[in-house]
Amino acid sequence: MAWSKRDVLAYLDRVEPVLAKLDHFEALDVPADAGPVTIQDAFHHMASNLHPDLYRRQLSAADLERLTIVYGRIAEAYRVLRNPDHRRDYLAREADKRNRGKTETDDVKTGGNSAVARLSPKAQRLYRRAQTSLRMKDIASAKLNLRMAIALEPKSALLREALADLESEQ
Amino acid sequence: MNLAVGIDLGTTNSVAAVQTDGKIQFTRADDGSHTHASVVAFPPGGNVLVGPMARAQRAIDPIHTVYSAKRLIGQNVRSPLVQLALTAMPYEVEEGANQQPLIVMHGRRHTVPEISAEVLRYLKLKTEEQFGHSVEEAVITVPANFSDAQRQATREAGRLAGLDVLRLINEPSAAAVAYGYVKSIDEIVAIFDFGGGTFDISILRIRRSIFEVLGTDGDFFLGGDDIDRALAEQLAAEMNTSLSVDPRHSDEAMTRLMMAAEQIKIHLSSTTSASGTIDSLLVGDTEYSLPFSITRDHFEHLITGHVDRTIEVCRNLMASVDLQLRDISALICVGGSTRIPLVRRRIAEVFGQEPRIDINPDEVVAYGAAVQAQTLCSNPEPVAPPPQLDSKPEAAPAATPAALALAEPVARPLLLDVTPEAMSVGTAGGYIKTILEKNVPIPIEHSKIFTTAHHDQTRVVIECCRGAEKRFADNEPLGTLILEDLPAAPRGQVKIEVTFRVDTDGILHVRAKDQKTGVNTEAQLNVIGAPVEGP
Repeated sequence: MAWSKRDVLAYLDRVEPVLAKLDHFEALDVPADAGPVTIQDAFHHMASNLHPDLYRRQLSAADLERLTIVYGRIAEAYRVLRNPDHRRDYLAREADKRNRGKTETDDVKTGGNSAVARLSPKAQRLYRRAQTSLRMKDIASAKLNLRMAIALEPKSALLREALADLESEQ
Repeated sequence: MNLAVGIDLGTTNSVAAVQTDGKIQFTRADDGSHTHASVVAFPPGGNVLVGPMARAQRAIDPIHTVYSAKRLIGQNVRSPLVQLALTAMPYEVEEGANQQPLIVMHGRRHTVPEISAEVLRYLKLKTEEQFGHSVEEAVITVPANFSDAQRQATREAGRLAGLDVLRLINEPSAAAVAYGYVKSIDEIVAIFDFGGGTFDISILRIRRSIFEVLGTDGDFFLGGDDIDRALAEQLAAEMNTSLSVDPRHSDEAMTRLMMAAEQIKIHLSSTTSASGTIDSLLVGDTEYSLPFSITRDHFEHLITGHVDRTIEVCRNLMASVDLQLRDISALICVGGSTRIPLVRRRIAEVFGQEPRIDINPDEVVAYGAAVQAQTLCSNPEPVAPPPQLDSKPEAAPAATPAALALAEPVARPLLLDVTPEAMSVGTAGGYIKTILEKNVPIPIEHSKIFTTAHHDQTRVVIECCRGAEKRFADNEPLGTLILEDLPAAPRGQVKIEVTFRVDTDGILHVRAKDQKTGVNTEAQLNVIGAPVEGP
């Protein structure tokens, strides 16, 4: 059976302030290594307690709207995690984001890497991806990302040196 | 007491059902049947006929009789498929505001939602008469592959008919609700919905009270109408040969042949040959009679291309939801065209099992809609017992799980539906980026950060489309979202969070938020082909 009106409102009060910060695993309330069956079960469990259709008669229009937004966020987490391609891309992006955070702090310590900052946003992204690939010992991807960055910014010494370093290592 | 009605608003026929006195009951037509012709006639004198009376009018006065309006609802009148459909329709259609089709009757222009509203109003009235209660709320079903504009136009039709439209649900999903409701099962089912005008295939997982749509696909311009037309064309060619009269330029004669073809088709579902004479074929000023004789084999040969098309769609869907045919534990037939033996044979072949027909394929969608209306309406009855099954002996075992389901309190079905088509946005160079792919659960909220591409850019234009073809132009435009009065800043500095929401009806909404200022813009998509809001 679905929750009571009070349970739902309490849940909304609890989850709304952190909604934007939840990652997909947290939104679905599953561990980060959850497999497809766990993910589907979790979504069914949440849907059977939180689907807006279940509360049309109990909640005010405004509260129903709040619930729809929260439920929509859960549906989005399910959309991404149930599909192996989306899940892989999502994990890569998250790792990228974490690494970028780290790089940015590094830059501050060393007085900022102005050579990186001079690159176009697209080339910056490719450069960071190359760094992420390097940390994951994926030399081939690192090279590919660097080459794509160079295609955008052929004059950047930073990029060409980074690629030359990689190629000399092998 | 108000009743909440479930309506299967079909291309050729419509069905309405309500839950009252603890069971689901159908709205009867005057002849006692449960199906009502989706035909609206405008005979001279100003009155409007709907249902069987209008259907009878079609043979007499085809240019003032609107049928298959569902094929035009929410459509862009300029689209090639609509232009093709129009060549087969004897009534006059014009282009109106926002490229919507307008149907001209005795010089008066009607929007398609206005025509569909006539059918809905008739069903509302019939239901009220039969059950003695007013009908205020409705769940209306639509083909799974209906677009935003088609959904909005269908909602508009409901509103014009004086109904509070609680929800639009996809036809195959409604069928699954009716079916799963009887069975209380945990399995993966395929719903093969081949109706008068459209074809849909849906794969659902039914588990306790949850109905999760895993995937759906279809062909919007493929149905019984096309099968009738294939046969009518053949009859016309025979007439040209045997009587040396070409009826293909006479709307009256072609309409007559289409109606005869429908009857022959139905006949050939139970016999292996049909023969007789089609009379009252008016070409020029002369009436002709056409003797015909056709075998089921010949008929199957004529329609095999259409049936192959449905099989192709099924195969594509199975591949896209990453399921094997052996995962499907039941194959359910919906819609009149599934009565055709060739259709049943082909799907049995492809899915490796006999299709289930224990719930009447013509009524199962309205049945599910009525169940869903109870879930959503303002004063629901207790959960109703399962429906009466067709008195087919092989359906008897199904009574056992239904009885079990009744023994414990049955939860109301919860339908987890999906987006019918990918939602994408235009990118530089005329390409697209997909925001939400096809078959994702709804309602859903997906946010994406957009930035400015130029220095001091104060305006961002986001073009939305339906579909996932690489080039923007190859997709169906949904509308344009314009964000204005952005703060002047270097390129890439302004960050706008755009949230794409698909609501429970499957309709896309977009809102935008300036991340720095937190200012929200509720952006309205101007949907092409949708009904224009009145003042």
